[in-house]
Amino acid sequence: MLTRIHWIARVTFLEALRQRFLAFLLVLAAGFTLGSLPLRAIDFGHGELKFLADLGFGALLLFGSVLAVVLPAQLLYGEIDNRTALTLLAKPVGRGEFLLGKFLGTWAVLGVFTAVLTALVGVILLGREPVIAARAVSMQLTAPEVDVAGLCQHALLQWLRLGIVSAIALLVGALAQTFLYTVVVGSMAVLAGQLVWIAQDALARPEGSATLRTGLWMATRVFPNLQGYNIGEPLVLDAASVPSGTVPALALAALAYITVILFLACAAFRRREI
Amino acid sequence: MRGLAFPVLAICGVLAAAELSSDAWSRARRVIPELRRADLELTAGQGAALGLLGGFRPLLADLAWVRGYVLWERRDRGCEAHMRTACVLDPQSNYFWENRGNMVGLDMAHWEIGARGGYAAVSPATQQQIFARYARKAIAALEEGLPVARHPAGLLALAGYLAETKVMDPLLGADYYLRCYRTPGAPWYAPYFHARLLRDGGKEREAYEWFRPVWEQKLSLREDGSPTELGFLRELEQRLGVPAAKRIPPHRCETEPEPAR
Repeated sequence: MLTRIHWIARVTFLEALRQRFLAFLLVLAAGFTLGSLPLRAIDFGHGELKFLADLGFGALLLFGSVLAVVLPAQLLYGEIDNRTALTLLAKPVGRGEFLLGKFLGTWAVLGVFTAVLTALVGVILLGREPVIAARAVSMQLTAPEVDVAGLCQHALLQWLRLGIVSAIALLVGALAQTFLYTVVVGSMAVLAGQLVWIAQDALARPEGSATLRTGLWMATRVFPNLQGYNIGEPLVLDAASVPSGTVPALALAALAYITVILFLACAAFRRREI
Repeated sequence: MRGLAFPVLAICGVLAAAELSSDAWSRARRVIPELRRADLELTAGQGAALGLLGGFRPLLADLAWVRGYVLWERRDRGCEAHMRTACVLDPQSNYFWENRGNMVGLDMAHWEIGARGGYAAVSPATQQQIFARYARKAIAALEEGLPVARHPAGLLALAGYLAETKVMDPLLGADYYLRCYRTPGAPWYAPYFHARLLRDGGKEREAYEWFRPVWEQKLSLREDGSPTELGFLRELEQRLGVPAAKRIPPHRCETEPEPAR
């Protein structure tokens, strides 16, 4: 079974690398990240490294999310529309295996995307760090430091986050009938995931009616909290401020969500007409 | 029975994942800049909503600030909404909070007086009311920033200044300077201003009893011995009639000649 999943993932990965959409988003995200250098001119009140890091991580978050929603939907519906899925599933390949292979192939591509952008952000930050440190020392201020380990941890978290988004897109794709519907509903689910922290914070306060609190509780249970993964800036520039165990806890939650969502997606895909 | 297994398994899985996510969020929350729902309802434009989605917050905050600055140059009070957006999007930035406080607390009153026909047309009492109203508004804005700004001492010092010079409430100013003094990174003048405003508010004894140990334990150890602050304490000793034996002993900054420059 693992060999079959591996082969489907490998083919998906190679197919995804040939997609123009991936190249387009990669160039766009890289352009935006590099664009942070001239944009420093309009920076007020932030540390320069913070500004550069936030812009680079913002590009990774935004364009990565778009890619994580569109790419799996595109690859899944490409197989279904071209009837290659029927040919493949006529062989001794389970539907669950097919979907898992698609997910792993897409996730590997998202890993490449994350690694390239993180490396670019890292080069920019490490390139500016000595200049800013020298300026800070001359002004008798504490020199900022770029934590490379924190950068790697952030890359891992973003990759896991994109894995959740990709799994959501596959779940919606397994239930839906059209590519457009999958992309729209998948994007809305991601949006809900980005905003679910509001419900989580509201739930932590002992106020509101029982109905409201039940609704909030449901929202926090249905949608994964994606906002928690945006801790790149503290991880890279102020690693000491991040409570111990945060990264493993976020990683564990992401793996749990990916497992559960893929389980649901496989179950939905088994019942789906192709 | 088998039919029930799948939904039960799925629900258990979702609940377990959500529980892990809640735990992870409670940890991550401590390092994610505060974005408060109540603030977002009052902000201008879509910047805050976009910022909520994570990433690009500093850039969006800067753009909101630039827009607010353009309006400020035109003396348009609408600038405050954009400055508020900047504060919400990047709440840790002292620059946004302090400049917003300055612009609201110091500039807007002048604009309103100008709009009412100028200083000659508005009575001094009304002018004072206008200054106090805007200063209170600025202080309220600074209060919002206190729990989230990176260096709250700067915000407290500005609130103290506005309370003293615009609201004309020395005791309120004294309270802000005291809070400032107790905050890390407080400016050196915070305890002196606290004591001075206590005196201005009629609490001379309290000012003397509070400021004397501060001067003895901290300010007197400075290179110059803080002669201005000692002079203030001497004045209080005289006014309060402190017996000579209980007064601060003569200090080197009073007895030694000032070093040649």
